[in-house]
Amino acid sequence: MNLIERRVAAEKLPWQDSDVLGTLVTVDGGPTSGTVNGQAVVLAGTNNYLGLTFHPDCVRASAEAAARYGTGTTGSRLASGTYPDHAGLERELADFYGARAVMLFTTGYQANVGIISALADRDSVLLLDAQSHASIYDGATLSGATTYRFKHNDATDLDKRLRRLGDKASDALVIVEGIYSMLGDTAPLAEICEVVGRYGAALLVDEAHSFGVLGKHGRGLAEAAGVEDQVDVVVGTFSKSLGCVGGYAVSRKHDLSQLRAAARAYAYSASSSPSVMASARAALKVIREHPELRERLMNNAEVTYRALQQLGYELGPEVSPVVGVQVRNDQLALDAWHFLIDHGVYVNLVPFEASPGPFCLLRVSLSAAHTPEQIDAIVEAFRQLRESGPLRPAA
Amino acid sequence: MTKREDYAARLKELVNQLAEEGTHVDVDSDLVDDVGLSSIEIMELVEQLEDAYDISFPLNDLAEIRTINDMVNELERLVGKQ
Repeated sequence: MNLIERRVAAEKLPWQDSDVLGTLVTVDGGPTSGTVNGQAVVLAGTNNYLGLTFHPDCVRASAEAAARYGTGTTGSRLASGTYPDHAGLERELADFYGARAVMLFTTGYQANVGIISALADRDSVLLLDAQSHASIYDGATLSGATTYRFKHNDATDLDKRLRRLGDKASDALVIVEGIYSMLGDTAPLAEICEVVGRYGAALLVDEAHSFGVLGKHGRGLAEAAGVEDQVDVVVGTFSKSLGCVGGYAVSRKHDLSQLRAAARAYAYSASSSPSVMASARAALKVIREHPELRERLMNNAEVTYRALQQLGYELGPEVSPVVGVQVRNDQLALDAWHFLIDHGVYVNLVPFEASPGPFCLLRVSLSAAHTPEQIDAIVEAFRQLRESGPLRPAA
Repeated sequence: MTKREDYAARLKELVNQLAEEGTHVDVDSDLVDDVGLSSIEIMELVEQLEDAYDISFPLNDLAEIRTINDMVNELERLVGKQ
């Protein structure tokens, strides 16, 4: 066997022999309903927090840009890949954040990998929250920096680790997330800012799941916690609240545009297609003009979280648009996921390998676009799962 | 008891607490393949050592640590740097 044959033979996928990884999702004319493997379902596992994928302004802007500028840029931002909508979105995001500069990336994953590997090098120190997203860990690896993890959401542990660094603490970059993607919990950002500030370190906050969701204007956890001026860099994505695809890094303090060549994910990747940039611009406008979407989302999150909690499910520690239902056995989790689909609800099935603890997750993500009837349908499917399905307590 | 022996004894004790009952653990046992620890359990072990010795393990080095002996080497290096 050669290298590739050995590698392919050795690799084992989660739920290898099931249909999970071949799941075919079809969205039917709206952000929260569709079919999964042919079964009509409420979509409750799409991170489509504000439901903007079908907003008429976004769809129109996207179609017009495709008609006018074509389907792709076929070039990097440093070459031929800057079209009017790229420049426009950068301006508008900078204005939204009151930022000095914005860097756009083709995906959210690339945003973290690109900016972290551009900010840190072999002489740097990175301190990551233990439950950081894979893109943060991968950015750290690519940077070559000495990397430590601190206990999840534990500012005291972060303090201890910065102290152990001695003089090097002021050269460290601390990385946390706004809302953690698996259990939906938020970082204790004010406490973290206090610790980071005391040591003169720098702070990057990944607001992928909190952008458009938290804060009076939707700028994320840093806005909600009143610490925006203490955060050095915010990273975010367009693939959740903005309903398309892409990522960004933004800073109020620093001119990140100086890092465009150093961030290889920026320099050596084709830029987003004009239609994606145009829909992101339209979606950002919707976020700015419609704060009631955030209220609707948080109301749906509150109702669902409380109902599932009352049914006896083990959840994350706080109400959030991400509701992670913990299941301590992978076969049971798979059976439960099928049961929910058969009962008209699609959620994400998260394997042990990707979950933050010794459990799999049935991850529910709520949307402002979920109707009260759809929320009832989600709760009802989970009630049946607990009463007569694979997760009944006797099972 | 030398420092190295002290580290090894402490580590064996911690690994035994995490391993399934009856698992044979010695200083050259592979923590994953022989002892059966999961990545979460290995991180738990690392956190206990970090608190006990007031050190931080760089993630960069963790991939190279397969056995208790490897971990003892890393402990010696990190504690020695203090």
